[in-house]
Amino acid sequence: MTTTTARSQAEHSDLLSDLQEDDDTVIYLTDEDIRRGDELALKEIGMTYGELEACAQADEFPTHKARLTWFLLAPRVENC
Amino acid sequence: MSKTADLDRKAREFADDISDLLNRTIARGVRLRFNMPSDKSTEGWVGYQTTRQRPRSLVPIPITIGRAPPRCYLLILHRVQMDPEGAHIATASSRVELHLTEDLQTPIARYDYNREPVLNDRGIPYPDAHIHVHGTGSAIDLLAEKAQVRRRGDGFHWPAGGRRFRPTLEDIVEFLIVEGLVQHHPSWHQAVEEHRARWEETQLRAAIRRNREIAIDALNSD
Repeated sequence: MTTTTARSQAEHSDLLSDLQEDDDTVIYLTDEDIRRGDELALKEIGMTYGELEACAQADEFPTHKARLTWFLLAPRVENC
Repeated sequence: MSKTADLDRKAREFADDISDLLNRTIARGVRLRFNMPSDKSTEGWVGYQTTRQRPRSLVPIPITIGRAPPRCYLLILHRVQMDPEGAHIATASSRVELHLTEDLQTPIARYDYNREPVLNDRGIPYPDAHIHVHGTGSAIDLLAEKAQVRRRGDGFHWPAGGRRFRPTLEDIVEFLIVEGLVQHHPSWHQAVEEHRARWEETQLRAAIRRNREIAIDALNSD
Protein backbone atom coordinates (compact mmCIF):
# COMPACT_ATOMS: atom_id res chain seq x y z
CA MET A 1 0.00 0.00 0.00
CA THR A 2 2.81 2.31 0.96
CA THR A 3 4.60 1.47 -2.30
CA THR A 4 1.46 2.12 -4.32
CA THR A 5 0.95 5.43 -2.54
CA ALA A 6 4.58 6.39 -3.08
CA ARG A 7 4.33 5.51 -6.76
CA SER A 8 1.07 7.39 -7.07
CA GLN A 9 2.71 10.43 -5.46
CA ALA A 10 5.65 10.12 -7.86
CA GLU A 11 3.29 9.92 -10.85
CA HIS A 12 1.37 12.89 -9.51
CA SER A 13 4.63 14.78 -9.13
CA ASP A 14 5.60 13.88 -12.72
CA LEU A 15 2.20 15.03 -13.98
CA LEU A 16 2.47 18.27 -12.04
CA SER A 17 5.93 18.79 -13.40
CA ASP A 18 4.73 18.21 -16.96
CA LEU A 19 1.94 20.74 -16.45
CA GLN A 20 4.37 23.28 -15.04
CA GLU A 21 6.78 22.82 -17.89
CA ASP A 22 3.98 23.57 -20.36
CA ASP A 23 4.43 27.16 -19.25
CA ASP A 24 8.16 27.24 -19.44
CA THR A 25 10.76 27.03 -22.17
CA VAL A 26 13.29 25.42 -19.85
CA ILE A 27 12.99 21.84 -18.60
CA TYR A 28 15.20 21.03 -15.62
CA LEU A 29 16.30 17.42 -15.71
CA THR A 30 17.55 15.26 -12.87
CA ASP A 31 20.06 12.46 -13.48
CA GLU A 32 17.14 10.05 -13.21
CA ASP A 33 15.14 11.95 -15.87
CA ILE A 34 18.12 11.74 -18.22
CA ARG A 35 18.73 8.06 -17.48
CA ARG A 36 15.06 7.24 -18.17
CA GLY A 37 15.09 9.43 -21.29
CA ASP A 38 18.18 7.66 -22.61
CA GLU A 39 16.62 4.27 -21.95
CA LEU A 40 13.47 5.26 -23.79
CA ALA A 41 15.41 6.66 -26.74
CA LEU A 42 17.39 3.43 -27.07
CA LYS A 43 14.23 1.34 -26.74
CA GLU A 44 12.63 3.31 -29.58
CA ILE A 45 15.42 2.40 -31.98
CA GLY A 46 15.78 -1.13 -30.57
CA MET A 47 19.48 -0.81 -29.79
CA THR A 48 21.77 -0.78 -26.78
CA TYR A 49 24.21 2.03 -26.10
CA GLY A 50 27.09 -0.33 -26.96
CA GLU A 51 25.55 -1.21 -30.32
CA LEU A 52 24.99 2.44 -31.07
CA GLU A 53 28.56 3.26 -30.10
CA ALA A 54 29.83 0.50 -32.42
CA CYS A 55 27.77 2.00 -35.27
CA ALA A 56 29.30 5.40 -34.57
CA GLN A 57 32.81 3.96 -34.65
CA ALA A 58 32.08 2.31 -38.02
CA ASP A 59 30.15 5.39 -39.20
CA GLU A 60 27.31 3.11 -40.28
CA PHE A 61 23.94 3.42 -38.65
CA PRO A 62 20.99 1.13 -39.47
CA THR A 63 18.59 4.09 -39.57
CA HIS A 64 18.80 7.84 -39.61
CA LYS A 65 16.97 7.92 -36.29
CA ALA A 66 19.76 5.81 -34.81
CA ARG A 67 22.30 8.38 -36.05
CA LEU A 68 20.33 11.20 -34.44
CA THR A 69 19.98 9.25 -31.22
CA TRP A 70 23.75 8.93 -31.12
CA PHE A 71 24.02 12.69 -31.62
CA LEU A 72 21.86 13.20 -28.53
CA LEU A 73 23.33 10.50 -26.33
CA ALA A 74 27.03 10.60 -27.14
CA PRO A 75 29.21 12.44 -24.64
CA ARG A 76 30.46 14.40 -27.63
CA VAL A 77 29.83 13.96 -31.30
CA GLU A 78 32.18 11.22 -32.51
CA ASN A 79 30.68 10.93 -35.95
CA CYS A 80 28.50 12.96 -38.19
CA MET B 1 25.63 35.45 -11.97
CA SER B 2 26.71 31.77 -12.12
CA LYS B 3 27.46 30.00 -15.39
CA THR B 4 24.44 27.75 -14.84
CA ALA B 5 22.09 30.69 -14.34
CA ASP B 6 23.52 32.41 -17.41
CA LEU B 7 23.08 29.28 -19.49
CA ASP B 8 19.50 28.94 -18.28
CA ARG B 9 18.64 32.52 -19.23
CA LYS B 10 20.48 32.64 -22.53
CA ALA B 11 19.39 29.20 -23.73
CA ARG B 12 15.79 30.16 -22.93
CA GLU B 13 16.16 33.25 -25.12
CA PHE B 14 17.79 31.15 -27.83
CA ALA B 15 14.98 28.56 -27.87
CA ASP B 16 12.30 31.29 -27.81
CA ASP B 17 14.07 33.04 -30.66
CA ILE B 18 13.90 29.94 -32.87
CA SER B 19 10.22 29.43 -32.02
CA ASP B 20 9.47 33.06 -32.87
CA LEU B 21 11.19 32.83 -36.25
CA LEU B 22 9.31 29.67 -37.22
CA ASN B 23 5.92 30.88 -35.99
CA ARG B 24 6.25 34.12 -37.97
CA THR B 25 7.30 32.44 -41.20
CA ILE B 26 6.47 28.80 -42.02
CA ALA B 27 4.91 27.23 -38.93
CA ARG B 28 2.40 27.90 -36.19
CA GLY B 29 2.17 27.11 -32.49
CA VAL B 30 5.70 25.75 -32.37
CA ARG B 31 7.67 25.90 -29.15
CA LEU B 32 11.20 24.69 -28.73
CA ARG B 33 12.50 23.90 -25.28
CA PHE B 34 15.86 23.95 -23.58
CA ASN B 35 16.63 20.76 -21.69
CA MET B 36 18.92 21.54 -18.82
CA PRO B 37 20.56 18.91 -16.64
CA SER B 38 20.15 20.18 -13.08
CA ASP B 39 23.57 18.94 -11.94
CA LYS B 40 25.12 22.41 -12.31
CA SER B 41 25.96 21.40 -15.85
CA THR B 42 27.16 24.00 -18.30
CA GLU B 43 25.65 22.24 -21.31
CA GLY B 44 22.13 21.35 -22.41
CA TRP B 45 20.16 20.84 -25.58
CA VAL B 46 17.36 22.58 -27.45
CA GLY B 47 14.71 20.48 -29.15
CA TYR B 48 11.08 20.23 -30.14
CA GLN B 49 8.42 18.44 -28.08
CA THR B 50 10.83 17.42 -25.40
CA THR B 51 9.40 16.86 -21.93
CA ARG B 52 10.82 15.78 -18.60
CA GLN B 53 9.51 12.30 -19.42
CA ARG B 54 10.95 12.28 -22.94
CA PRO B 55 13.95 14.60 -22.94
CA ARG B 56 15.58 12.82 -25.91
CA SER B 57 12.56 13.23 -28.15
CA LEU B 58 13.26 13.24 -31.90
CA VAL B 59 10.07 14.83 -33.18
CA PRO B 60 10.36 17.01 -36.28
CA ILE B 61 8.46 20.28 -36.61
CA PRO B 62 5.55 20.13 -39.09
CA ILE B 63 5.91 22.86 -41.69
CA THR B 64 2.42 24.23 -42.17
CA ILE B 65 0.77 27.51 -41.31
CA GLY B 66 -2.84 26.36 -41.53
CA ARG B 67 -4.88 23.23 -41.25
CA ALA B 68 -3.38 21.71 -44.38
CA PRO B 69 -1.18 18.67 -43.82
CA PRO B 70 2.50 19.61 -43.63
CA ARG B 71 4.45 19.23 -46.86
CA CYS B 72 7.69 18.67 -45.01
CA TYR B 73 9.28 18.69 -41.56
CA LEU B 74 12.22 20.36 -39.89
CA LEU B 75 14.22 18.61 -37.22
CA ILE B 76 16.10 21.04 -35.01
CA LEU B 77 18.59 20.01 -32.33
CA HIS B 78 21.17 22.26 -30.72
CA ARG B 79 23.66 21.29 -28.03
CA VAL B 80 24.50 24.55 -26.33
CA GLN B 81 27.01 25.58 -23.70
CA MET B 82 28.64 28.69 -22.32
CA ASP B 83 31.67 29.87 -24.29
CA PRO B 84 35.18 29.40 -22.80
CA GLU B 85 34.95 32.77 -21.02
CA GLY B 86 31.59 31.83 -19.52
CA ALA B 87 30.07 35.03 -20.85
CA HIS B 88 28.13 33.99 -23.94
CA ILE B 89 26.10 31.05 -25.08
CA ALA B 90 27.58 29.00 -27.92
CA THR B 91 26.35 26.09 -30.00
CA ALA B 92 28.59 23.09 -29.41
CA SER B 93 26.93 21.13 -32.20
CA SER B 94 23.68 21.26 -34.09
CA ARG B 95 21.52 19.35 -36.53
CA VAL B 96 18.98 21.16 -38.68
CA GLU B 97 17.39 18.75 -41.11
CA LEU B 98 14.71 18.95 -43.77
CA HIS B 99 12.62 15.79 -44.01
CA LEU B 100 9.80 14.78 -46.30
CA THR B 101 8.06 12.65 -43.69
CA GLU B 102 7.51 12.76 -39.96
CA ASP B 103 9.14 9.36 -39.38
CA LEU B 104 12.58 10.75 -40.36
CA GLN B 105 12.98 8.03 -42.99
CA THR B 106 13.24 10.42 -45.94
CA PRO B 107 15.78 13.15 -45.25
CA ILE B 108 16.20 15.79 -47.97
CA ALA B 109 19.11 17.82 -46.63
CA ARG B 110 20.95 17.96 -43.32
CA TYR B 111 22.82 20.99 -42.02
CA ASP B 112 25.38 19.87 -39.43
CA TYR B 113 27.66 21.90 -37.24
CA ASN B 114 30.32 20.67 -34.82
CA ARG B 115 32.33 23.27 -32.94
CA GLU B 116 34.94 20.65 -31.98
CA PRO B 117 36.58 18.99 -34.97
CA VAL B 118 35.26 15.59 -36.00
CA LEU B 119 37.91 13.46 -37.66
CA ASN B 120 37.52 11.08 -40.57
CA ASP B 121 39.14 7.64 -40.62
CA ARG B 122 42.44 9.20 -41.79
CA GLY B 123 42.50 11.66 -38.89
CA ILE B 124 41.56 14.69 -41.01
CA PRO B 125 38.75 16.90 -39.69
CA TYR B 126 35.55 17.36 -41.63
CA PRO B 127 34.43 20.99 -42.19
CA ASP B 128 32.89 22.14 -38.90
CA ALA B 129 29.81 23.37 -40.80
CA HIS B 130 28.69 21.07 -43.57
CA ILE B 131 25.64 19.89 -45.50
CA HIS B 132 24.57 16.37 -46.39
CA VAL B 133 22.43 16.33 -49.53
CA HIS B 134 20.25 13.29 -50.05
CA GLY B 135 19.56 11.95 -53.51
CA THR B 136 20.44 9.09 -55.78
CA GLY B 137 22.54 8.54 -58.87
CA SER B 138 24.53 11.73 -58.54
CA ALA B 139 27.81 12.45 -60.30
CA ILE B 140 29.59 12.56 -56.94
CA ASP B 141 28.97 8.82 -56.63
CA LEU B 142 30.77 8.26 -59.92
CA LEU B 143 33.67 10.36 -58.67
CA ALA B 144 33.76 8.41 -55.41
CA GLU B 145 33.85 5.18 -57.38
CA LYS B 146 36.77 6.40 -59.48
CA ALA B 147 38.60 7.51 -56.34
CA GLN B 148 37.77 4.24 -54.58
CA VAL B 149 36.09 6.13 -51.76
CA ARG B 150 33.53 4.08 -49.86
CA ARG B 151 31.28 7.04 -48.98
CA ARG B 152 28.36 7.79 -51.28
CA GLY B 153 25.77 10.54 -51.95
CA ASP B 154 24.38 11.83 -48.67
CA GLY B 155 27.48 10.73 -46.76
CA PHE B 156 29.61 13.58 -48.11
CA HIS B 157 30.23 16.64 -45.95
CA TRP B 158 29.75 19.61 -48.29
CA PRO B 159 31.45 22.62 -46.70
CA ALA B 160 29.09 25.34 -45.65
CA GLY B 161 30.79 28.54 -44.62
CA GLY B 162 32.60 27.57 -41.44
CA ARG B 163 31.83 28.58 -37.88
CA ARG B 164 31.06 32.25 -38.43
CA PHE B 165 29.44 32.13 -41.83
CA ARG B 166 27.52 28.89 -41.80
CA PRO B 167 23.95 28.78 -43.14
CA THR B 168 21.38 29.78 -40.58
CA LEU B 169 17.86 28.67 -39.91
CA GLU B 170 16.82 31.99 -41.46
CA ASP B 171 18.54 30.92 -44.70
CA ILE B 172 16.74 27.58 -44.74
CA VAL B 173 13.36 29.20 -44.05
CA GLU B 174 14.01 31.71 -46.81
CA PHE B 175 15.04 28.96 -49.23
CA LEU B 176 11.83 27.00 -48.62
CA ILE B 177 9.70 30.10 -49.18
CA VAL B 178 11.57 31.58 -52.15
CA GLU B 179 11.54 28.22 -53.95
CA GLY B 180 7.80 27.97 -53.37
CA LEU B 181 8.10 24.71 -51.46
CA VAL B 182 6.03 25.72 -48.43
CA GLN B 183 3.26 28.10 -47.47
CA HIS B 184 4.24 31.13 -45.43
CA HIS B 185 2.89 33.93 -43.28
CA PRO B 186 2.44 37.27 -45.09
CA SER B 187 5.12 39.13 -43.13
CA TRP B 188 7.71 36.35 -43.30
CA HIS B 189 10.36 38.54 -44.90
CA GLN B 190 10.37 41.03 -42.05
CA ALA B 191 10.71 38.20 -39.52
CA VAL B 192 13.61 36.65 -41.44
CA GLU B 193 15.41 39.98 -41.72
CA GLU B 194 14.95 40.80 -38.01
CA HIS B 195 16.29 37.43 -36.92
CA ARG B 196 19.08 37.49 -39.48
CA ALA B 197 20.21 40.93 -38.26
CA ARG B 198 20.37 39.62 -34.67
CA TRP B 199 22.37 36.54 -35.77
CA GLU B 200 24.79 38.65 -37.79
CA GLU B 201 25.33 41.04 -34.90
CA THR B 202 25.99 38.13 -32.53
CA GLN B 203 28.48 36.58 -34.95
CA LEU B 204 30.16 39.91 -35.64
CA ARG B 205 30.57 40.58 -31.92
CA ALA B 206 32.02 37.11 -31.42
CA ALA B 207 34.38 37.56 -34.37
CA ILE B 208 35.60 40.89 -32.97
CA ARG B 209 36.07 39.42 -29.48
CA ARG B 210 38.19 36.62 -30.96
CA ASN B 211 40.14 38.92 -33.35
CA ARG B 212 40.64 42.21 -31.50
CA GLU B 213 43.88 43.09 -33.28
CA ILE B 214 42.32 42.63 -36.73
CA ALA B 215 39.26 44.64 -35.70
CA ILE B 216 41.43 47.52 -34.43
CA ASP B 217 43.58 47.37 -37.53
CA ALA B 218 40.51 47.46 -39.79
CA LEU B 219 39.09 50.48 -37.93
CA ASN B 220 42.40 52.33 -38.09
CA SER B 221 42.87 51.66 -41.79
CA ASP B 222 39.54 53.21 -42.82
